Amino acid sequence: MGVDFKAAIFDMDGVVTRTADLHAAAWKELFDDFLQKRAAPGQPYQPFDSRAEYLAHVDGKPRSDGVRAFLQARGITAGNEELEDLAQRKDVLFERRLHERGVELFASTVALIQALRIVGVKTGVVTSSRHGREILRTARIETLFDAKLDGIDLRKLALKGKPDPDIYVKAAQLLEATPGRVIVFEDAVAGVRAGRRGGFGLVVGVDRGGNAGALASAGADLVVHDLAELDVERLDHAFAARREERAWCIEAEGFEAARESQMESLFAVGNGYLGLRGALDVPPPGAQPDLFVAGIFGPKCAELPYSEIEFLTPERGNGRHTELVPLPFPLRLAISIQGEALGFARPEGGELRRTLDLRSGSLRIEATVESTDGRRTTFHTRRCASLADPHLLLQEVAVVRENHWADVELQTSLEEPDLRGHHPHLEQAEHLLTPDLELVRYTTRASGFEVCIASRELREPLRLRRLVCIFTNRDGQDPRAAVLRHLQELEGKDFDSLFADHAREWAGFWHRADIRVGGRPAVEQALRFGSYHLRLPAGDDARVSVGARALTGRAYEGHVFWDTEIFMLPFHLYSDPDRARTLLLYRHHTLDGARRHARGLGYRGACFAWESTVTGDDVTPSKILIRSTGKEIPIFTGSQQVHVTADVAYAIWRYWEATQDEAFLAGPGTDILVETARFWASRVTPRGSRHHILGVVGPDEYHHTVNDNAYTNWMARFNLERASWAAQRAGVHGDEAQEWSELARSLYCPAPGADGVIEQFEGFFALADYKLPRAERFRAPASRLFDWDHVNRLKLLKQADVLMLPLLFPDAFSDEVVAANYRYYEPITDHGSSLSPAVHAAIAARIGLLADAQRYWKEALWLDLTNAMDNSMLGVHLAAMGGSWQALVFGFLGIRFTDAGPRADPQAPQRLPLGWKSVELTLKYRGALYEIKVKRP
Amino acid sequence: MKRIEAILLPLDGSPEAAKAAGCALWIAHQLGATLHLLHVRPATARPFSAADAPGRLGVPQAQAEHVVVHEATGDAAAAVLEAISAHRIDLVVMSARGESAPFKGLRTHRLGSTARSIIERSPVPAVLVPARYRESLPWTSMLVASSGEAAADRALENAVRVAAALRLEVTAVHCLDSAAGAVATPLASYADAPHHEFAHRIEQMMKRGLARCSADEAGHVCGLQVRCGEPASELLEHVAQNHSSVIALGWHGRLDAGRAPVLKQLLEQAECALLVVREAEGPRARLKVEPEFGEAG
Repeated sequence: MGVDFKAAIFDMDGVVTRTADLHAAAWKELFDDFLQKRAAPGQPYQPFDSRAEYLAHVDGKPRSDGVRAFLQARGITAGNEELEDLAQRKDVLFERRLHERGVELFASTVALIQALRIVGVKTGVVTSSRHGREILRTARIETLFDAKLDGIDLRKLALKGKPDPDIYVKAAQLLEATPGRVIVFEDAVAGVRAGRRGGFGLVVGVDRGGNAGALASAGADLVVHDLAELDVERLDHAFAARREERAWCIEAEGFEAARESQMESLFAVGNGYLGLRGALDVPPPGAQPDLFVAGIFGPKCAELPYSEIEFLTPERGNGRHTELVPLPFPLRLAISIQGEALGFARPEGGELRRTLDLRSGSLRIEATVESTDGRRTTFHTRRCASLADPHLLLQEVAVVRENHWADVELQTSLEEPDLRGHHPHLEQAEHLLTPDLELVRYTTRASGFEVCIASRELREPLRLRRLVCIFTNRDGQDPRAAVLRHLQELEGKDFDSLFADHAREWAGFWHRADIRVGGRPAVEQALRFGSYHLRLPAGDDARVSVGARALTGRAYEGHVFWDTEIFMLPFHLYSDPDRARTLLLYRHHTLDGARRHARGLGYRGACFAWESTVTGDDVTPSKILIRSTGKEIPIFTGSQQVHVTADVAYAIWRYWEATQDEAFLAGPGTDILVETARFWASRVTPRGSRHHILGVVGPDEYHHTVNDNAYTNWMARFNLERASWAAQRAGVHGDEAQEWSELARSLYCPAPGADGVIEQFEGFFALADYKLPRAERFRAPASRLFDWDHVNRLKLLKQADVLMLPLLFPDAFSDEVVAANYRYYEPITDHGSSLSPAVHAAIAARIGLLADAQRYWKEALWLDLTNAMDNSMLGVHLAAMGGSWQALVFGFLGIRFTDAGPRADPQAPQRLPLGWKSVELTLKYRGALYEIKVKRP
Repeated sequence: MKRIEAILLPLDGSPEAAKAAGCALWIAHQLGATLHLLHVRPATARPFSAADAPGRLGVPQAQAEHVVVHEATGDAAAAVLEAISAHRIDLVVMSARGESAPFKGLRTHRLGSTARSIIERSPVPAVLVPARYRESLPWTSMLVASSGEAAADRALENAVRVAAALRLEVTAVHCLDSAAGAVATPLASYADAPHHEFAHRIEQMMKRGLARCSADEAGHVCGLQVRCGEPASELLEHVAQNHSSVIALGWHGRLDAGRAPVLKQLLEQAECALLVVREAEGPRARLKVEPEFGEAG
């Protein structure tokens, strides 16, 4: 019988050997003696409690740490020499008892070890006791273990003692197993913490008496009174269950100032109406704990201290809706104990764990803080942006005093300490503070938005619960009245049930959207992370869409790109089509802006802006100015990257194909198709008998002012065809429909040459060669930006361009043609765009280049979790997440839609990446749900 | 980082070591800090008397009020580190070379073994006066090398604090190394769309470094420049163009072959002082995703 875990490591004392009593007795003799000597003559002293104080201060730790901890707890200072003396004396006392009494073993533990070894699991034993080897020898159990580490090894290898994970990690190394595949058995809190910190696959707590609660609190996955309660099978189940659980969470331990911004992006919560970065409740210096509300934009603010300190985009200041406004952190907390202010993230360290519970869409934070006088307090916080009630944020803070009874003050505030400095878009219009609630009202300068935030608290000793409501004047005329009314309505509602309502909505989402990958929980976890973030900004408001970094970060200023329709929309389309519909309605809502943009460029119809926000008017800058040198770098995308117009049309048709939503097609769908076709009709240039599209930027942004970009032309042709079809179907615009059909036929679309390769644009094949060094793949150097003119003349791609076509029109190309284009373009692509790797994974999978597919898949799937592009601090990459989903569904699984529903490619089982046993997911198609299951043969 | 109240100037009696004196005196005077002279001598040599010492160590007669002289024997670096702890030193000012200086051709020609040992282990920042140093007081401006890495964060924070106290203008310089294959500096490693990311990344970089500085301190930062090219050359060119008084930079604390190339080049070529800040070994954050799950592929 095979098991999933490779090794098991046992703490010695208390788990394998019954030496705890010997130790405790030795400690008691030692400390009682010491305390008695120190007490004033005749004065009573408080003896060492060999139960409570042993467990709290000494158990599981190296001797000197134990001595130090006990003395500190008693408020006794002693010099290093004295500490050493005590530690050594304890040794002597212990040895004496050991030789007198011998070593007792826990028979059930020995039995379990033997059972594990029979099924091939390696076993190890660790102890901080320097008597370890002696004890093992005396008890004759040395041969039970493949790896043994004791206190002597600790010192020799300079390993830190528990709760540091060093000793367990080293043991795992000796057993040649990664911690994720190892089970740890511990009876001490310090040991359980070590197991957690080391990232071990399962931590089993053994409660030898009254310790169960503490072991569970410290993070034990399973607590038993004796190992007789476990057998190999039960362990295997627990291990698998724990791995399953871990695949539903993203967990981060520790604090690192340089990475905090990245963590804030990854751990964001949201609900379509708002997004809140995963900042600590007590924000450390340098935190960027932004709240974003969809649709709340303002003019560009260059007034932040270091914004535009070097890179300027001069003409952005004009528009009123140029950037998404970062709002002040509404869950701010200040903690103090006996007047000393404390933070969650001391520079000196302190335990911090952040857990994003993907299943319930909530963020939990655990921070253990130590004040200067040694008081330890743990704060457990959780928060969510309710999916059941978009205007509601919930926060809970629970306080556990680990070793003291002092008062812990929790102060909350909606007010931002430095509003002018950190949020120059805002003016504070009102701040109200009553015993019952706090309210703050902001207005945005120039763009006329009003944001009202109100909070009500429920305070109990050692626990704080907050309901925070948010309304803006986008929701109605009087956001202040709305927010107060809403809080009123929530009065009396059970806090836990509010959380439960939210969790239920998320359960509904996962029911449709979850993807299970047998044998690869890490991949499941990453896929869930992507789906979670795709869900976050997809609300019900058709006046807003989703920006490139959603509502998780300031970069891209909330601007909407083709990312939404081409990369993100398919995920929504096949899990919850209404979301896709809402996203497309945004384009209908902004049709006037698109019309203005077309006219501004000198054309008819509607041309969607490359970057758009509230009105659909173009918010793309036209140049970057380097302040120190005065150098100008032109940006061509705003005026030339017109393919986005056809991308929207494509998405319209895709939506209709998958839903048969006739009402949508007849109304907004046809409106968009018609106007966009008119644009193309005016945008083309006749040359001889054909028509051409000149002076564009394709998906590959290294080249500008190119003619007949294959992608643009193919998409434009499709746009014209669909418009003609829709118009004829609706019986409107008969003449124009005819014109569009003809134009579609005469539009020049680069076709595969004799070698199968499609020329990316006119003259691409004649460009100068560029030997792309390995180091530049996925790490495009800054010179691409600064030497833009030079790059324009090279055969070098920023991202998939031609290769987008087989992804969007899989049946239009044979596998041979697709392979020819992959072989030609892939080696000269540096993936300077996060949109690129996923597309390459999909194409490589289709043509059977499985090694390539896996490599690109890894790059795309873990892009934010590994901070691969080193800019996740600015927000998560939604297009990469949507692209990864497509790479799995349309690449590896090769899903095609037939009248009988979605079908996986017959080759799919062979195409599954290494280690995948199976893939299961649900796809919605034309109103019905389909279970797709692909298993490796 | 608290106010600078105690400065240490280690001297071994050589004229080379004494090159740092003018700078140390000026800084101490500006900050109202106590200047500790540490004379490290061989055990066989006799100590100077307190009155004689400054002169005999090469420190000009114009003594600042708060100068204290200490004597020590034995290993110089150890003595200096001990002194940093004993006298609660906030800043070390020293010449990059001591009595070994005249012997060119040795590896110590740009950084003496004692100075090296000290900056590798000193818990506080150090102002190094390099081989080609040309004294030019008072200082008016500081150039801070901002790579975006964690070491640079700490350097920026410390540098700005010092600069604010000395009333210097601070310019940060971020070098985008254009050589492909060279260690990509964080800002250069990636940008989906430059006009949407560079500005924010620079902002983040500055914000992180200055998070613990007061608004007043941070106000001394008057500009940032992005330059393309090899960092040390770019920094030196900026100094030449703008007459910066001191270059501040962070580093990882290792000087073996291939490491700290920028610092090494500056030690060799800079004519101004260098404020070096070693990266503190801080706690790390761990995100528990693949490969923590312990699976192949």
